[in-house]
Amino acid sequence: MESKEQLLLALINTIQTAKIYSPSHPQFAESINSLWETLTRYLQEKNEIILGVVGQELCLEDQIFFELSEKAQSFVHFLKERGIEKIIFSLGLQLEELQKFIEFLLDPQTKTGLDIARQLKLLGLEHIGVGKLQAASETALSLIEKKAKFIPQYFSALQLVNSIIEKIMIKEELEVVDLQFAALTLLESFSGSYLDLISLAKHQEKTPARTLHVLNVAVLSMYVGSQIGWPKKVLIDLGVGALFHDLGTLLEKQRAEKKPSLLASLPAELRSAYYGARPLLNYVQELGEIPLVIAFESHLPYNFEPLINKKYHLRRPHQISQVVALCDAYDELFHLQLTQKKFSPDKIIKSLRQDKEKKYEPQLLERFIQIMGYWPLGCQVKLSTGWIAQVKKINPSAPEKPSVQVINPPEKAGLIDLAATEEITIKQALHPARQVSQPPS
Amino acid sequence: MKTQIETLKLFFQAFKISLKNALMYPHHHPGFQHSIQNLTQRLQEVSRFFSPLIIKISPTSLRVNDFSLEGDTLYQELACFLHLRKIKSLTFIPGIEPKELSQLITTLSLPLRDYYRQEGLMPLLASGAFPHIQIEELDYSQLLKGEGEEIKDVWGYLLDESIKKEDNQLFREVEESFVKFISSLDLEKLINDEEINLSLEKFFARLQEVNAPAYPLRVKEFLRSLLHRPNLGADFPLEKYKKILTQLSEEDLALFLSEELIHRDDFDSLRWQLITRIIPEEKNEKISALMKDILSQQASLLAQGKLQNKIKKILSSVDYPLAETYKSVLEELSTRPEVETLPFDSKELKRNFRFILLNLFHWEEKTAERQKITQLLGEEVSVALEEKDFEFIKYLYSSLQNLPPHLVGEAISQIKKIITKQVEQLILEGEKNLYFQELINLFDASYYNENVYLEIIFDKKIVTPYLLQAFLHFFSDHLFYFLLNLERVTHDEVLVENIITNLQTIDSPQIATILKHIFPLVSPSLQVKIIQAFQKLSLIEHSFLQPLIKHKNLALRKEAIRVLVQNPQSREKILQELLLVPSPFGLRNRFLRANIQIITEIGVPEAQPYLQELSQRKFFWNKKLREEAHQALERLTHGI
Repeated sequence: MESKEQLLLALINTIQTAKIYSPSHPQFAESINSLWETLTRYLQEKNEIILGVVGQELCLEDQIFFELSEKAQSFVHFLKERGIEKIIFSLGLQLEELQKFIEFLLDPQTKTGLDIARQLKLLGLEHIGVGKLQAASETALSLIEKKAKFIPQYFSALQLVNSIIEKIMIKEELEVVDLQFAALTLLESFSGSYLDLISLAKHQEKTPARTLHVLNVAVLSMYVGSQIGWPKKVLIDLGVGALFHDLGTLLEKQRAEKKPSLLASLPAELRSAYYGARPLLNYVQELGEIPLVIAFESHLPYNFEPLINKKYHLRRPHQISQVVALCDAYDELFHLQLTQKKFSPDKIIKSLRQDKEKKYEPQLLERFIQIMGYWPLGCQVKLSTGWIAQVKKINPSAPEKPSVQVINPPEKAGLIDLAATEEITIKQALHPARQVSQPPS
Repeated sequence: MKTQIETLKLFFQAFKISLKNALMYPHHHPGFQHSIQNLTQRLQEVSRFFSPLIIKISPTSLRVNDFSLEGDTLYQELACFLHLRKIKSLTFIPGIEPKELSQLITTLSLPLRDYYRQEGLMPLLASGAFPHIQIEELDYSQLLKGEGEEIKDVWGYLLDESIKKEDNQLFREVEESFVKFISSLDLEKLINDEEINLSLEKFFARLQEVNAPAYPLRVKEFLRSLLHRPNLGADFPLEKYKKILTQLSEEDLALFLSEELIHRDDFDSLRWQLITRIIPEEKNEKISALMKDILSQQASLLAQGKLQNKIKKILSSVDYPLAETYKSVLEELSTRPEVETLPFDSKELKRNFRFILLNLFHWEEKTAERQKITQLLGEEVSVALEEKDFEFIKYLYSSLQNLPPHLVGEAISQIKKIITKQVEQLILEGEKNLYFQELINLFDASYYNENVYLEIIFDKKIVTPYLLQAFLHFFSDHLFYFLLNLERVTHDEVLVENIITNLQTIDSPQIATILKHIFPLVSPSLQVKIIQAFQKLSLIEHSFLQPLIKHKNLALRKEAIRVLVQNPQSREKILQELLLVPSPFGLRNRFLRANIQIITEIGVPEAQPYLQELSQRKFFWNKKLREEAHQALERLTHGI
C-alpha cells in the first residue's frame, strides 16, 4: 500500500501530465487511471481523503509534507490560483468523475472560490469536493484545519518572542495585547501533540534554539494548564509568563562581568530569580503578576528549605510556576532524548519522577504525567508484537499504557487500548526523524 | 315536605342525568326526552324556593343563594363540568320551556373542543334561543390555571381566540401555560392529533410575531418535553417538527444540546441523538462546532470524566447513527483525559507576588529600580491589609524599619504610616492576630492618644492582649492613668479577670506593676488569678510573693509557693520556711500539714529531704504529721 506521500505525488504527476497532454492522449488516460486506482485503494480503508494547502505547505489528513511542498511549489501555486485550499475525495469516486475534475481544473475558464464548488456539483461530481480552509474558530475544525490554524500562529509567535526580549532589555513598550492574543490563538489551536511542536521547530533552523524552546514551553504550559482545568484568563497569562521563564538565566549571563555585592552572596537560583523578575517590574500593570511570579519562581525548587535565610522571605513556588518548570524540563529532556542513539521518551518521565518532592510538587507532577503520558501523543512506537503503532490517546489512570493505532502491518490496523491488555506492550519508541510513513488505516 | 337542600339535590341529579343521556341518545330519543321532562319538573320544584334560580359556579363547587354545595361528588363534577365551559353563573328564570332545557343540555354535552369551536352558548344566547336562561361567562385565563387534563382541550381554543381577536394579553397567558399544555399530552396524541399539531404550528408562528425573544425558550421547552418521555422511540415522526427548529439559531440549538449533556443526570443518549436528527442538516456543522466550544469550557466536568461518559454512551449506540459532524466533535471530546482538576489559587499567587517584591526590595541596589519596587509595594500594602496578610506586613515593616536613613524617602515613610494606622485601628477594634505582637514592638509611635485606648478598654470593655500590649508599648509613661482606671473598675470582676488573663500573655516589666497594684483591691478569687498570672512572667517578684507563702488563704498560699519554687535559687529557702519549722507539742502541725499537701499537689521533688525529716518526728502528737509526710514522700518518690 502506498504512503500518503506517494498518493500526493500521484496527484501532482497527474496534474503535470494533464498540463502537457490533451485529455484524449493515452498518457493522460494512463495517468488518470493510475491516480484513480490509488485513490480507490485508499478510499476502501477510509471514507474520505482530505488534501489541504496551508500557506505554502501541502497537507494530507494529519500530515504536513514540508519537503514535498518545496519541490511541488508549482502545484501549490496551481491550486491557490484557483482559490482551492482543500480537496476532498469520497468513497465511491468514479474514474469519470476524476477525469472531469482534472479537466475542469485545467480549464482556463474555471472560476475561483465558491463557484468551483457549485460548478463541480453541476458537473455531477458527487465524490469530489473543494473549498477554502476556514480560519475562524466557529466551525468544527478537522485535524488538518486545526493544524492549519496553529502553524501560522506558531511562526508569527516566534517572531514576537524574539522581539519582546529585546524590548524588555531596553525597557521599551511591549505589545501586550499582541502577546496575549498570540497566546490565546495558540492555546485554542494546539492539538495537544507535543511532537507537532518538535516537527515545526525542525524547520526553523534560523531561529535560535532558545526562542523555540521558550515558545514550546509556553504552548505546552498552556496546554497542561487547560487540562488541569484552570480558567482561560489564567492560561493566557501562563502562556505569556512562560515566555519569560528563562529571562533570568539570559540576563544573568549578560551581566556576568559585574555583580553587585549583595547578589553575589545569594545562591545561584535566587540570583537567577532576581534577574528574571526585575525587568518585568516595569510591566506589572500591563502583564499582571503572573509573568513576574513565573520569571522569579520557575527555576526554584519545590523544596526550597535549603534556600531559606533570615535575610529574605521565600515562599514555596506557586503551581503556575511549577507547571512551567515541568514543561521546561520536559522540553529540555525531550531534546536530549532526540540526540540519543535510542530514543526513549519514557525516560523523561522517570527522570522527572526522580526529582519529585525535591524539585516538583508531587501532586502536580503526577497530574503532568497523566496529561503527557510516558509516550507522547503522535509518537510512533514498536509494540511487543513487532507492530508499529502511533499513540492516539493517553490513559490518565495508566499513563505508561496509552491507546495506540496500529499502522503496520496494515492488516492489523486498528485501535488498541494497551491499558486493557496485558499481552501487548510498548517495546520502544521510534525516533521522530525515522518515523514510518503511514499507509491508510 | 322536602327541604330546600333536598330539592336542589334532586334538581342537580336530574341535570347530571340529562347530560349523560344527551351523550348517549340523540336529542329526539325518548330516553333523552324523558330526562329533560324530569329536569323541567325538578326545576319547577326548585323554583318554589329560588326564583330565579341563580347558580354560581367555581371550579369545585356550586352556590345557590346562601347554600354552598360542595363536598359531594355530584356538585364537584357538575361544577368542574360547567367551569370548563367558561360558565361563571347560570340563571334560570321562571317560565322556562323544556325545549330550552333540551337545547341547553345538548349544547353543554358537546365535546369540549366542539363546544369551543362553536363558541359555547353565547351565539345561542344572542340568537334568543334561551329567553329564560341567563349565562355569565368566565374570564378565559382562569381556565389555564387548572391543573387537570382539561387544559389540553382549552389551550387550543384559547390560542385560536387570541389569534382571532389579536388579544396579546390572552396570548401571553396561553404562552405561559404552554409547558403545562405540552406536559398534559401523551405521546400518541401529540403524534397523531392533527389539530394539536396544527395548534403547535400556529402557536410558534404567533410567538415569533408577538414575542420573538421567547421563541427559543419555548422551543427548548418543547424539545425537553419530548426528550423526557419514557416511550419516545425510533418511530417518532421527526419531520413534523423540523419546521419549528428551523427558526432557532445555531447558537440556541448548540446550547440546548450542550445543556442536556452538561446538566442532566438522567441523560438518555438515544433521545439526545434523536433530537440531532430533527435539526436541519445545514446547521449541523456550525452547531457541532459551537457545542465543542461550550463543552470544552466544562473543564471540571471533562476532567472528572462526567461528560466523557455521557458522550461515550452516545457514540456506542448503534441504533441511531449520529451525523458525522457531531460524531467527530464528540469523539474528540470523549478522548480528553480524565484528570482531576486542581483549582487555581489566586490568593496564594498574590501572596507569592508580594513576597517576591519584598525580596527584590532587599536585593536591589539601584535607586530607580528600588523606587519602582517601593511604588509596587505601596500598592500591595492596602491589598495585604485588606486580606489580613499580616505576615507580609510584618516582614515589610521590619524591612523598612531597618533601612539606612539615606534610603528612607517620602514613599517609605508613607507606607509605614499606612501600616501603623491600619494595624492600630484593627487592634483598637479588638482584632487578634499572632503577628500583631511583633508589629507592635516594631512601631515607633501610636497614631492615636492614650485616651482612645483607655476608653476602649475600660468603657467599651474591649480587651485583647494586643490592645494591652499596644498601650503599654506606646504609653508606658501613662501607666498611672491605666492604674487609675483599673481601680475604678475593680467592682467589675469579669472585666478585671479579663484584663488579668490577657496581661498574662504579655511579656512586659509593667505587668507586675499592674498586678501588684490591683491585688489588694480585688476579691480573693481574683487574687488567686493574679498570683497565677505571675507564673507567666519572666521576672519573679520575691518581695511581693514571699509574704503570701504563709497566707491564711490556702489557694493563695499554693499559687505563691508554686511561683517561688520555680526559681532554684529561692527554692531551698522557701522549702525551709515551709517545712523546716519547729512545732513544739504539735502547735505548728496544722501549718506544716497544709504545706505538705501544697508541696505534694505542686510536685516539688526537692522537698523530699524535708519530708523525710518530718516523717521521722517523734512523739504521738506528730503521728498524723509523720503519716502525711510519709505519704507525700511516697507520692513524690513514685511520681503518683
